[in-house]
Amino acid sequence: MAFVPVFSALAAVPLLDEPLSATTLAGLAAVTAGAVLGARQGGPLPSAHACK
Amino acid sequence: MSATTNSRSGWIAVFFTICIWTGFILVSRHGGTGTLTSWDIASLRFGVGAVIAVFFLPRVSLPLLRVVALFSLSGGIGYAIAVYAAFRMTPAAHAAVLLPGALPFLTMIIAWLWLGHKPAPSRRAALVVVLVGIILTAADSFSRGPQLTGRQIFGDLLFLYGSLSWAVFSLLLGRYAVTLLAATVATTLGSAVAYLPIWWLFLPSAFDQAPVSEILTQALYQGVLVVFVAMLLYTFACAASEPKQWRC
Repeated sequence: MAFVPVFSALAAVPLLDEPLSATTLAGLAAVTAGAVLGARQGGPLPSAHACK
Repeated sequence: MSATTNSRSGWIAVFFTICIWTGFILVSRHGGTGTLTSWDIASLRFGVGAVIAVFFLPRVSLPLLRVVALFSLSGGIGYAIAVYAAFRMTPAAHAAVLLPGALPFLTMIIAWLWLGHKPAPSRRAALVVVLVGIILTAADSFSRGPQLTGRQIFGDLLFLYGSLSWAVFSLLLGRYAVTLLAATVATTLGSAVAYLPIWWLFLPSAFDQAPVSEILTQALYQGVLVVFVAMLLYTFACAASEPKQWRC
């Protein structure tokens, strides 16, 4: 589930024609790393289910 | 059902849940560049969702009216009107960072401030990394030049507000003993009853100018797939697995 942000942003490049800047890419990497890190250190970060 | 079959079904449910959550950002951003207003898209989410919620109504035990109102204001109206407005201003990548990406951060901060649940030291490092991601996304908006920057930052703030609303909703779910299905039915019906008359009477609409395909796409995705199908798949995935397998 931690990979939903990166999947969405990467899919938007060809599907919506929205290029990714290096800064946004770094932001995506950080939130994904944070979610994975949180999950590895004692379960998921607290969210009942993702925003939808 | 054997454990292996259960696990395989769970993984399939996880896969489709991720597809729907990913698709939510793409379809909503596509809607944000279309003819319908953000108010219209929210009305489709609640209107179509309410029709399905009525089907599930006999199968669930609804919480007290006060709780329905809290759910509707946080996970329903508060969330939807902010994020659909933001999708008109800000690219999908920003939504990806500031909605599902920022949610764990905001949920933990609110749990800390509101409920006094201080995060463990091992988790604080993860939260700092997520915060860096949010700051980098804001930095991207600030670099867009004077024409775009103001609009995009406002969109970013609306996404953060949407995430905050959803974080409050998540914490309310933990506070009240309600199943996810009952909470979804209550939130959808409560939001529809409160929002649809206001939208119909006062809010800007472009239904009469929008192509039928656009209306149908948003109705199907927001009202059916996002609100109900993803929730049912997620619940099934959690029930069919060891929770730690995919971090329910």
